[in-house]
Amino acid sequence: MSFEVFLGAIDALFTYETMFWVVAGVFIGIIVGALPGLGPPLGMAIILPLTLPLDASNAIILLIGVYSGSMYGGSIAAILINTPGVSSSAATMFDGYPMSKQGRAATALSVSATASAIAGVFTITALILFSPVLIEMVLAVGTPERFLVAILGLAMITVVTRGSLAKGLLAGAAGLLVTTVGSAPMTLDRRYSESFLLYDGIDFVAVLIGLFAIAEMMKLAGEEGGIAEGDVVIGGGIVEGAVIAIKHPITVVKSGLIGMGVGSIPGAGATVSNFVAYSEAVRSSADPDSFGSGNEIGVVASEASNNGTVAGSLIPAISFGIPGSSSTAVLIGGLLMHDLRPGPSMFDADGELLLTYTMLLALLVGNLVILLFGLSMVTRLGYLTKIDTDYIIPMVVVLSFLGTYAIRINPIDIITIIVFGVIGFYMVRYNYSVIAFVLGVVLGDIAEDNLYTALQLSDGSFMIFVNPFEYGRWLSPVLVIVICAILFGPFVKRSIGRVLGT
Amino acid sequence: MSQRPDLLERSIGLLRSVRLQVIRARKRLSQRISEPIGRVLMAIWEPIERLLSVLWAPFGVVIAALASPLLRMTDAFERTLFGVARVVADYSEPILRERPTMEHVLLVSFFVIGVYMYVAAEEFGASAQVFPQLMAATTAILSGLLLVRNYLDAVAPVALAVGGVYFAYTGATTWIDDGTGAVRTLVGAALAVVAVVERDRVGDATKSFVAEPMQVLGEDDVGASEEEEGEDESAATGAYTYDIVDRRGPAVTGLLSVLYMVLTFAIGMLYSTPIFVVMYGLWARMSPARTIALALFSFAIAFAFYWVISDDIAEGWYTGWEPTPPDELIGLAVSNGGLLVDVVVILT
Repeated sequence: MSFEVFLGAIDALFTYETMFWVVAGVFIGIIVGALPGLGPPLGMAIILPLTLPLDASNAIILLIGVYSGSMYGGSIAAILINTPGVSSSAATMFDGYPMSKQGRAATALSVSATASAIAGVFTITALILFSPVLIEMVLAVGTPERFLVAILGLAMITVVTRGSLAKGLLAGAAGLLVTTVGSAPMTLDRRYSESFLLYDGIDFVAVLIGLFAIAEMMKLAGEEGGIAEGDVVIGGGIVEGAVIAIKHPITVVKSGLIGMGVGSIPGAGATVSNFVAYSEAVRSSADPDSFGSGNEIGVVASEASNNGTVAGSLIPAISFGIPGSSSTAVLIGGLLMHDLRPGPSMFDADGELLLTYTMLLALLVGNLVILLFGLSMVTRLGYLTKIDTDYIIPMVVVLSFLGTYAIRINPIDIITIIVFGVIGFYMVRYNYSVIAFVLGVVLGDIAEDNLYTALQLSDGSFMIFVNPFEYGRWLSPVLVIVICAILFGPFVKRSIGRVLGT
Repeated sequence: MSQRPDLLERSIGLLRSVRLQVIRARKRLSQRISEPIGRVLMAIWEPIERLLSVLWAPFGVVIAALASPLLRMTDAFERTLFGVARVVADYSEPILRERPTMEHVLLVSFFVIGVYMYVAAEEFGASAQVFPQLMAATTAILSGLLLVRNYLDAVAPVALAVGGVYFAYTGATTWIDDGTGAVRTLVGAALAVVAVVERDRVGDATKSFVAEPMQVLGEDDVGASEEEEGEDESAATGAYTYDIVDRRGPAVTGLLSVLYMVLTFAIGMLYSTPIFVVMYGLWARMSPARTIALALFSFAIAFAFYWVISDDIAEGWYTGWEPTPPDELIGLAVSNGGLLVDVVVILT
């Protein structure tokens, strides 16, 4: 059955319209990724309202194309002007920029394009092959467990992003609280909506645009640099770069898998995988001292890992609606906006499995587009690094306002993007996890639905989550224990250590 | 046998020279095509830029005349605001045991919203209030803990003891009413006892839960960890903060966005969009030609939204006023032009 759906997905993908959106998404993504200060979540958040006229499949393909393209695009600024276009390309700077200074910018860019594409294709193929197992896993998880998985995702984000645990949890709880405004998902009670403008609640697309677009533009307005000061010279061999990436299959595959593994952990994202893969490349090299002064393997590892992250972060996102990164949070927002619910229905042959496979295949094709675009446009990519932020900021604000307002023509949405823009700006400034906040906003309705259904099953008792003897749900207490271990494990361990005097 | 490598080398050499020729030809072609196009574009743009500068000049004078008292007022407002903020900060510092920042404003907002939403949720139906109350309580408690982070030694045991007593009391009353709630009573009592007997450990544990890892490690450890992890630590952990070089940048962007919102509610988004871009261009000291070009571009985007997605963006939501949109203006001009032609024809 799944195989038939898979064949159907191939059919659905290879139409002129769908292929147009794949290419358009990757193209926009590369530009968004290459412009310092922008990034995949911002690009996706701005495009999100514009996908409204599209059908669900093309809208999601466009968004995922932007996501994938921007992962490669981030390396352009990192290599050419020593400023990562996106944080997930930070490690690319270490060797990419020295290569550029040695007159080998074209080589570095083609290494980046080839490594990104190969790792992307490899990890997406692995995900497609792994999908039958994933389907079984997702379908085995019941309603109470899905609520706990959401809380587990939140707990993991607060731990992975480190900083203060209380700050992480506060961000997540505040995000969930935002979704309680408006009609209750199951009972349709009106909550906190004295004004009729709030009857439909606070639109999560407006929140996402506020957090990612307005907050980022406020931040960008206060920063300096990020633009090439002089002419960017792009020298070196393009074919040479592609050959270098192909000659290091182990680094590409290993880094891609690191990206995929780290990406599947909620909150970890491409920034972490980027550094982990780079460190591993240095560790396993026979000549570790050459890293940091233009070693191509450093670029291979860094770029292969961040494109591998795309496949990894999709696993929790489409399985349980838990974003592995800010970008997948926006992607989930796109799914919800088009009435698609992450979870079992995304893997149901009679549900949205066709869309899931089409999306994965689109990513596969998108990586080939990255390769073609990356190699053929190498000498022209320097233009992107010369666009002044003074042009970018007003345009992004305008697109944010127009896109948000056009969705519902509700003035509350305009107020929302400004309020959450300011909140997002200060949250990042004082190290509060924006990803946890976004997770809360995106997950709120789903979490409340699952909590409501679980409490209905138990006549309102929270014991359904912890007492397997009465309710026969053994996965729930296991998940509760895992959540407690993640949240309180380090403190308990420290206390035990103090008691034992170790 | 020995001729084979020669042949191979010659073939490779030939291929290389062909490739080189192709590259040179492509470069020449590219130059031949792109240079004239570039020259034509510049020839078109330069007079436009000069014309725009000339057209802009009177507006520039008017705007400068209007903006100058506005800027003086803004400076005075900024000085007053910073003065007030400094006074508030001076008074709050001994209470908070740290210099208040916008983080405290954020936390107070979260706390007030959490408390309000918890209390307001009492009015909802039983099943509709569980989730909001759970989240509101969590938000209020965590923001409260973060606000009093310098008093946790004293506050945490007291808060835990009060919570424990509350749990025990509500559990006990439920137990008396319907026979359930024994577990809650026992847990509440145990919490209260732990809070009193182990108050030091409760304080320490809460501090490490609330504080940043650096604060938990202490001064000596901080130096060591900084050396080990280097400056990219924040990037490596996926959490990132940033340094603001120009404090006015974010403030002006935020204020202009608010102004854009006000204009949107007054005259609609269609016409407020280029006004916002012009205001931003003036602040960023963009050249007049570029400001106008960017404003026209933004207006084209807004018009595309008006044309394709929703014509509601041309109306001010609050005032209900809809300035005549450009398509109607063009229609009006065309019909007036037609009228003018008719008049001329009649007269002649």
